[in-house]
Amino acid sequence: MKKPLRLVGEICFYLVIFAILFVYLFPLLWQLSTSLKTMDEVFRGFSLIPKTPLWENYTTALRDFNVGRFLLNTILVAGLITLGQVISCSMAGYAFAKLRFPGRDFIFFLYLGTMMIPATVTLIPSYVIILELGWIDSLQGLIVPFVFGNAFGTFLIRQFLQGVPRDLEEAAEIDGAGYFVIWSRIMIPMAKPALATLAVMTLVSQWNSLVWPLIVTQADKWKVLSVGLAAFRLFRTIQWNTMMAAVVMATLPMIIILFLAQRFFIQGIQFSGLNR
Amino acid sequence: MSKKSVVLFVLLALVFVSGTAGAEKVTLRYMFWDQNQQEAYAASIDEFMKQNPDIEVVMELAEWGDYWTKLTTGMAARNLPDVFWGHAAYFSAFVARGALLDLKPLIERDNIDTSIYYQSLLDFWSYEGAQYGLAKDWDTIAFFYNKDLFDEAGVPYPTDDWSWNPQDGGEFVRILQQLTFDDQGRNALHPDFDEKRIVQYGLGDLAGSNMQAGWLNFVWMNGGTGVLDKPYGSKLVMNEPECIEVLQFWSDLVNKYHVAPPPEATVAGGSPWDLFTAEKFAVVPQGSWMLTAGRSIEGFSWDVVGMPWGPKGRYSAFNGLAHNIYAHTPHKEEAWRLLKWLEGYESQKIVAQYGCVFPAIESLVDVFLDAYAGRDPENVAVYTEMAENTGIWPMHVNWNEIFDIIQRELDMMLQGFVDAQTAVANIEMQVSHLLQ
Amino acid sequence: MPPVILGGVIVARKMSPKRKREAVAGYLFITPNLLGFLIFQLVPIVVAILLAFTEWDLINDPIWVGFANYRNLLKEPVFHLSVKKTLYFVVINVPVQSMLALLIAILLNRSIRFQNLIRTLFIVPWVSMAVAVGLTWTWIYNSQFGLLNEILTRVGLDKIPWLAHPDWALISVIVVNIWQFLGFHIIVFLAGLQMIPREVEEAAIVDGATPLTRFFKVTLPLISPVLFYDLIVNVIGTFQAFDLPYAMTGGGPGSATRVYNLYLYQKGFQFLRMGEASAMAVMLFIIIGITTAFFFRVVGRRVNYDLT
Repeated sequence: MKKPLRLVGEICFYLVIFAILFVYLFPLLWQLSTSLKTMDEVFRGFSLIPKTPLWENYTTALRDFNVGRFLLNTILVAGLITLGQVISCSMAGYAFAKLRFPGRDFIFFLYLGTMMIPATVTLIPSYVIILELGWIDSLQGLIVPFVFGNAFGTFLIRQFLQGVPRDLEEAAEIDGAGYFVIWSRIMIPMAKPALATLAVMTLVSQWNSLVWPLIVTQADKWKVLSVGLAAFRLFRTIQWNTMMAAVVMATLPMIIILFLAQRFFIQGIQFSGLNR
Repeated sequence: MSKKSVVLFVLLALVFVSGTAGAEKVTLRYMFWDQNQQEAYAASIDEFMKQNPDIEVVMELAEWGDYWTKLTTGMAARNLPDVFWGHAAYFSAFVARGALLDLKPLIERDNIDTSIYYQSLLDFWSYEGAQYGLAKDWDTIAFFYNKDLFDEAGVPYPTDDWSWNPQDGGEFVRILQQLTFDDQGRNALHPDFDEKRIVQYGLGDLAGSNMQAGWLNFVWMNGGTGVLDKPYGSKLVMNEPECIEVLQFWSDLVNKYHVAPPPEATVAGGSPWDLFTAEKFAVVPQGSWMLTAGRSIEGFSWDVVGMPWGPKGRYSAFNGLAHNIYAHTPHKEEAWRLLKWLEGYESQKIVAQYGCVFPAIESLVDVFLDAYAGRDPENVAVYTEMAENTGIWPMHVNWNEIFDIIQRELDMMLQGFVDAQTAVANIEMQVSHLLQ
Repeated sequence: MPPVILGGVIVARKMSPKRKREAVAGYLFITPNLLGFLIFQLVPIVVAILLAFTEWDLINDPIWVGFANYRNLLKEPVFHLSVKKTLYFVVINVPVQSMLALLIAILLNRSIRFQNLIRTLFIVPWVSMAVAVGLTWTWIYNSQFGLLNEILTRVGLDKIPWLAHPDWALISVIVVNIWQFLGFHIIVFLAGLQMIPREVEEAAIVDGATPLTRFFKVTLPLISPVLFYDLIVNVIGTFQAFDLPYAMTGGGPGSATRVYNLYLYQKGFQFLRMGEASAMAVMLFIIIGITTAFFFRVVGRRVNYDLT
């Protein structure tokens, strides 16, 4: 008698959870749905499933609204920054965790200290630096300020590498390995989960970032998706279906990566949310 | 230095010198906002490039809304186009920051005859003894109206002596009411008129941002001073009763008489102009610069009528554009040559022939009017009449910021969320620190 | 920490060759990272503090004006408005988000199937671009054709001008903000809940505590450090809200959604007042610092650190 009751309870539980999820994610489903509708259906149809999916909205967005160019720039900028951060933070994280050098703890303390300072504070001076370098409207202007990594990434890798037992390094040292070899052959493979976490966190934040690209790019040629899409609001006539197609193209890549690398996202959130 | 390296150095130097000496063309960036004038100016610039083979001009079009953002951020990036269109409303912000080149020394050096231009147009571009532009064109405001919609509604066309007052709207509102219909075909005077289901509006384009072709003219026609007490004045005069009365009337057009739509952030049907050409608006206030756009109207006939006579007569913004040169352009001489050409007689004649804007050179006005012979609008000359009376055009070094606030607050008023008194009080409170 | 730093310096005096090599390697390894940190973090912080004392439009030379920027800002009504809007944003966003997230986290805190799938689905909005999400919601909020108003009409209610009305716009934006970052906090709280030892809960059950008292007497005190830390991070983040208001309303209608960072951006890059914008940035830092300190003093005391 007890078992069937529990089963019903279980089913109810999952129904509740998935109902919550359905409502929670409905805006995104609506976005997808609108992106496949005709303008006529956009204004009249309130069904989630478009009558006949209109894939042309996507080609229109790519072609007429420059989304193709924006997408390319976004991939390039977010990709290069992520690559740079992973390399730079793994190097620095290794040094902070494992190597002894004068001033190490002081510098690290400085890193942690600035983590609390809002990004807005550095915005204008960073802009002036890029301006003086003549890097407005350029790939360098978009990438260089972030490519060397940041305090968060270094902190994350350091914490992880501190947990790596010393004997591994010592064994390598006895074999005559230099620091570079230890870093590339031991530390990087050991730190893979942390590096993957750093990579996905950086990728998402750079892919979605708005403020910096907004101020350093003016020409359409250099705009990234966030900046290009934000300009849609200013259009007097809005083609909601095309706009939603552009929006889907901006969000879908990160959602796919989320599903491919779930574990690392969860770890990244836990690390930044629990600070350990 | 070894022999080898000397040879290498000389070779490199040669390559470098020959590379630059090959009569390289100077490229000038030319930025403008009005697509309707693109064709005419492309023709003029082609002619210029023919006569000046050492200069290449690249035309960059940015829509009005985007244009000023681009130029301001361009200023911040120290990367402005070499030559660009200026507008009286934004001029002072550029001048105050030293972004524009003073043309006075060049005008004197080259003995430019400035007497061919309307004096008032030249005055727009002078500031503290310097001259930052000549004159490209001038414009005034009148109303475009769709004759077919008047016919369908059985309303006689507005005549040049039509009138208006801010209390009950007068003839102006009466006409607009007869041109506003709900989906049952009832006009705004009908007792069962349903203002929630309007399919055609009498009037369009009432946004707070539409100062030049919109509310400011009516403020003047009601005896108000305008926005500021004088050009570059430091006193906001929107709290004059004459002004508040007009602003409230402007809001009433939307919220009381229901003859105009509220300026939604996004109008589903399109821009006011799109809606006029789609025959959803019967009447729209338009600057003379829209005449060219009107030429592409198909499917209905239309005409223009002057401003309706208000308690203090009729007024129109009288404005003019000019070409400005970026103060820090590396190609000052070339930019000046281009500017001289564009504001000169020959170029203005080319542009006037396209009928896109009234030329700033008085003797060419007839060339412009000839472009409209035998086509709509019949009454095009009304725009020249509208040039007779104008009020004080607001100019201020912080105009960008001031106007940002004004248009935001007026839009809220037009949506019916606040009355004119409150909107003006809100504006006053927010702009006070900008006016000092 | 300070004794450790001192220790490092003392050791530096007399180093063996091996230690020297290690030190050189250490510096080399941190060089790229440190350069980026110095040029784009540390130097800008100092420069921002200095710029805040100047009047500068990026074109002409900066003029030293002392504390004038701060004085002017404190007198300026639009600045007051932006501070008010931001405080409102924080005060609504943070508690609502935390409570909702905690509720859902508690619901999910048991051994369930599809644990990973469910957690992942909850962070989908979080990985989505704020601008894109903002535009999607702008469409849903659209007064005439938006989904929300269609639903309202169908159940016989009046349409609401969500983003167009000054009284509705800010709360509408806040709802989107709550929605977008909810998943993040769920994951954090879930991790916190899972750190509570099973025995503690089971002991409470044995004692015959009702679920409600169990929550207030056992669960809440035990995850209070996690909650507290999350709250602070959330407050700091919310003070800096920019993307959603920028993409959805541009600060309008009127100044209804002109939050702090949006106004700062406008001051700097639309109106070219770099000095005032820098002063705003410094003041934001101070505001955040005061708020955090306040939290530590008032709430921090009650946080139970012993049991984590």
